[in-house]
Amino acid sequence: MGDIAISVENLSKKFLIGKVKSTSLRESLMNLFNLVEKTNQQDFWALKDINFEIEKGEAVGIIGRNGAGKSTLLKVLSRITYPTQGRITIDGRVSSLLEVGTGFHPELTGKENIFLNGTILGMSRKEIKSKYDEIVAFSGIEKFINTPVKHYSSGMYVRLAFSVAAHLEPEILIIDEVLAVGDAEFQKKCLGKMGEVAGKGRTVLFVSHNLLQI
Amino acid sequence: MGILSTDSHPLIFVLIFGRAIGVETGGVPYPIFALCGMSCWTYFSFLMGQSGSSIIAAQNMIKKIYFPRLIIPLSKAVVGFIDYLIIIALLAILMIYYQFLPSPNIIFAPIFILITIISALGVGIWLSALTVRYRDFQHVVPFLVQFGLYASPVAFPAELIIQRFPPWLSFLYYLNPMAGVIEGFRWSVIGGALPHHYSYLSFIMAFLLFSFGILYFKRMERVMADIV
Repeated sequence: MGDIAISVENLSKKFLIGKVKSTSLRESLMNLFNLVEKTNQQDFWALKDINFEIEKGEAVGIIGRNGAGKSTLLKVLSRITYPTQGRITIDGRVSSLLEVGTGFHPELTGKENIFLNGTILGMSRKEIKSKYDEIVAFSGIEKFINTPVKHYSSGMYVRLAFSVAAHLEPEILIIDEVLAVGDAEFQKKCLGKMGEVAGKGRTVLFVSHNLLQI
Repeated sequence: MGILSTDSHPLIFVLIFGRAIGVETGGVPYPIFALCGMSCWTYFSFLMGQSGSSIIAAQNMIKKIYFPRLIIPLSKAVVGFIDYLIIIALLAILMIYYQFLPSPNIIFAPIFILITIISALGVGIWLSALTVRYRDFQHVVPFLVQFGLYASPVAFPAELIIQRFPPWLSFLYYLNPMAGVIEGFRWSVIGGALPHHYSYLSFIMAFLLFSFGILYFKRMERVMADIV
């Protein structure tokens, strides 16, 4: 305890709503010659002056209404988008699971996708190989591991995706509400895993709508 | 398979085009002459076509996973390089068939291959970042590729164009990075007179495109996930 894993100071993220800045060359040229009427753009602060610190080994849950900015916060923390203002200090390797099966290729089999996804999430080939059996066992879909994932049900999809992410060994694990699709048993298993991960001194940050999970 | 499906079209075009206008190659079998140009041009146009839409095609990943975005256009460069090597192998086979001995300049060929990669990547990186900012740019790209085939000395030597214009205008022609690169590569394989001294302009353009492409890409990278 005592070590800070994530510290966020005055973090703000602004979006423009309404007709966003021109997205095509044609519009930009028309703007140049003042051929379009200026539509009024509005600022929208998805995040405004957020301050918090998370210590190493903590498991933190974030709850909030739809559109409260939970996902935006996670996106900023995992460096996908940049904050408009403020600063973030992160100590350790971050791995984030913001959506189920991102980077899964529908034509590849479950096995191949474990390797593909693992690589995308930052594991080395050797690392994946050594954990492969564990990942498959955790997902509980041994039977379908050689089937292309396009034939999977959404539950199987989540199971596989989460299993890969859970076996990463990042210092900080960021999870968006991806568990909503799995069944109760799997959710329980995942929460157990997350607790275990946090117990090993790693930091877990996750978003959920289910208060009980937190 | 990419070779057979996508590349054979311009290949056939070049062969017919060259015959039709009766290019003077100075005793070099025309297929060898044309394939020298085609090898570089195919790689260049492949990257232009592929990397333009590459970021948009990968938007699902960009919005959800962090990784250096530059990997996307770079990966296209690697894929295209395999095609490039196949065409160069084809060129070698053709030279054996015609019993054509490469000039000693061939030791410079790797340099020109390297410049081809740099200029193709430069343009590719530019296009991939530009199509994120301006969606309709992807419709401009096929036109640029078509136009570029005529604007580069692929099917004919650069002189053929240059001699029709006043000499001071020829630097305009070499603003196209591929103009100098193709002439250079052809010179390294076939030999003959040194490429036009304005070729250096092409090489400078290639490096400028590449460096500024990366700078622009880095700037766009910050907002890529927000606007893609």
